Amino acid sequence: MKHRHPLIIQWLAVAGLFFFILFVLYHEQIVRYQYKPTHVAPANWIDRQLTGEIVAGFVLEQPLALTHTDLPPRERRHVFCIGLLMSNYLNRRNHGEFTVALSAGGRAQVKALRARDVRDNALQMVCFDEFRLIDVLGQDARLTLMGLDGRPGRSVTGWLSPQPGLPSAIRGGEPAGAALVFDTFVRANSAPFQHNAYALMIIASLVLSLMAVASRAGPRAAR
Amino acid sequence: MTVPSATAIAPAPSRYWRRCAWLLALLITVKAMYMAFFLTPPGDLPDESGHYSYVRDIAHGKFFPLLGEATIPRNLWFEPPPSQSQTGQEMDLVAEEAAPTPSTRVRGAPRPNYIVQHPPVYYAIAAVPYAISERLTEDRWYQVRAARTVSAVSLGLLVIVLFGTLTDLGVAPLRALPLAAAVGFIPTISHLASGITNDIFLFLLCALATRHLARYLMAQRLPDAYLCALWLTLAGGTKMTAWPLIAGYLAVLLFEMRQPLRRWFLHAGGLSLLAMALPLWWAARNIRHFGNPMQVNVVTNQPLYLNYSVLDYLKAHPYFDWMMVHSYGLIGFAGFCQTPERIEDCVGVKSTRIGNQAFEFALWALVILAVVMLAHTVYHYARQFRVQPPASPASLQGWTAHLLSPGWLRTPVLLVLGATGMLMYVWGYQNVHREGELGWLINTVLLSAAPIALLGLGIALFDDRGERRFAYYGMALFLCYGLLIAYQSHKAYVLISELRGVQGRYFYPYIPALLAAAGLALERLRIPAVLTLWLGLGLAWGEMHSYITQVIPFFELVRI
Repeated sequence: MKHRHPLIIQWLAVAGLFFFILFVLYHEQIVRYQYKPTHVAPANWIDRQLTGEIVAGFVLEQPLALTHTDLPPRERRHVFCIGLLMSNYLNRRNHGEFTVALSAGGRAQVKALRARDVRDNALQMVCFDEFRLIDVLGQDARLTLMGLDGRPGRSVTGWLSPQPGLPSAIRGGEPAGAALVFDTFVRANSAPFQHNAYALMIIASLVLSLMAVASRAGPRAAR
Repeated sequence: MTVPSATAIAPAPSRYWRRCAWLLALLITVKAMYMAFFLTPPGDLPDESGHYSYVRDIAHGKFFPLLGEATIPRNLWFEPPPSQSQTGQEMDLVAEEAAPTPSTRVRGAPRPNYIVQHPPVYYAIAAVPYAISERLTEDRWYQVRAARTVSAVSLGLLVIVLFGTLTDLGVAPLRALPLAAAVGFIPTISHLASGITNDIFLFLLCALATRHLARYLMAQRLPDAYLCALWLTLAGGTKMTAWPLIAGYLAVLLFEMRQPLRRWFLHAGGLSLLAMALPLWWAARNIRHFGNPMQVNVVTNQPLYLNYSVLDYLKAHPYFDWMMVHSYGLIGFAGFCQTPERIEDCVGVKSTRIGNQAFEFALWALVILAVVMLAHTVYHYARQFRVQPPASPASLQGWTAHLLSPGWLRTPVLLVLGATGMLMYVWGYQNVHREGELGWLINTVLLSAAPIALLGLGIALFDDRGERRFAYYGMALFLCYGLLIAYQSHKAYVLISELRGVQGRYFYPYIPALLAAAGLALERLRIPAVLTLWLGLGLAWGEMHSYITQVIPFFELVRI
């Protein structure tokens, strides 16, 4: 005789499966709650061109001209982050590292990133813990993108496009004719909102599982 | 008159299905409670400040606050800033109290509470958990949440009542469960269930009335008729949007009542008195205080547009699109006004409309339901040309079917109803404003109510099965109310040149009958149960998707 688990076990097991699927689908979205854009209008993605592969020796500087934010004063004290629009050449396996540096008010912070972690045509978030938004706002700030050990054919790229009010990037000492495509954010405490999202996900998993298990076992149980 | 044998109510579902329904309802209640406690910002439901203030007034012994006198007190949701505050920001807020600024006006001065125009049943009930919480704690956080629990519990009970209605009508539990639960997966409904508002409670009362109406039409048991009237009067004592439903259901009860003449008059009087008791009391109170039985807070200026008809309005404005989108997902209101740091932004309403893939799924689900209902309607409409009337009619419905027996009397009636329904659809499809890529789909779904309801009216008048007549009475009432709401929205537009009153929640009293009609069509046409299962699963996913990708980020923006 075929062994059958009690319905409650089936329900919870299927709910676990649903939760796993939903977690995979939405986890990244939920993590991103912590990034709050400093401006209502995002960067222009139209008419974009590649910066070129960020290989060893690649240097691109982007002056920042952040003079205004839509965030209320209290939120300007949060950690400053940028979301760089990057591409990995259609999910190619890339290697090596590159750095993103922020300098403002006589200070600088360098963050190293791995090329293999970059996703295709998505914002790569980089937070500078030593800078708050007010440290960059109205300051003569600069972003520097530098390749460390990337090889041609195995490196990632950024994007350039005309950005209103933003000076052109400087690539290898020459103006690139367009600005780096990036958005600016602050990193806020979004834990309560993340917990809310996971709680809803758990409830949705239980609901989905209950309907699925009940519908499958129902005709048998009703007999 | 004699009492003929009636249609039997379908046997109750097995214990297994009842448990499943209760468990699903419990989960939906837990979800609404969670949203009420932790997710929905205070004041972020339509007029929640006014509803909450009404609840507080009753809890503090004011039976009942009067329109024009009632106010919404200052700092309703959060503690007023301490006079000797520690932070600079709080010092700023105190300084604002002294000097009248826009933020002081919003946060400080009491505002008139026009929500007291609503009858008080919901508020009297919500005042109970609120009053208990007030005795247990001084923390407003808990007091607000206590008042919110009534809506959350109402949503769970609503699922149970809808499941019961569907299974009473003979819909298999396999189909009935996802259909009944579907109302708990609509973002607007979940959102409203997480706050202080009378809409979900009203939905529950109307679902209860609908269930007993269905049972009465099938089994002709008088206790069902009286229970229907009882729930109707409570609905009428909750919100005036239920008053047209009371008139409609009462008319159906009397039209369908199979009793000897003397008893018919006796019970017609009893049912009418019971169903209209609370609305009559409220109307009398309004007459006493205002001289107008339906006193509400409305704009009274001169019309801005003259000779502007309802048809002009529907042609020029995205009324159908707004109605559909707002029915599915219109979230938010003025929560941003309740955060001290955001007080300067407090101008107007900030809300988010859900128009994502989940909305498109819901729209396609409605298209499928509309097609199924249309097929079911056309089949039974065609039958009415030859369905024989009862040999000895025992109700007004029976007499109508008897007088208009198949042949040269019934055929023109059916043809006129059918032609009117089809013409309304064709005219609407060609002329009503179409908004965006999905406009044609939205118009198709909403306009399909016309042929279904009018062809269905022929079924309601002549059919020999109580459950079918019930389903199509519901559709006919839905269409009448839809036309009334469109007319009201047009009236508001003529006065203020804005689209107002385009809210799916105004239709909640009619949704239980609509859902029952859809369930009956799915069952009778033997549409595979897996379709309703996928519908339920898709809607449940869609709601969660909408909350995670849009609503929670919106609330984060609102609340900081």
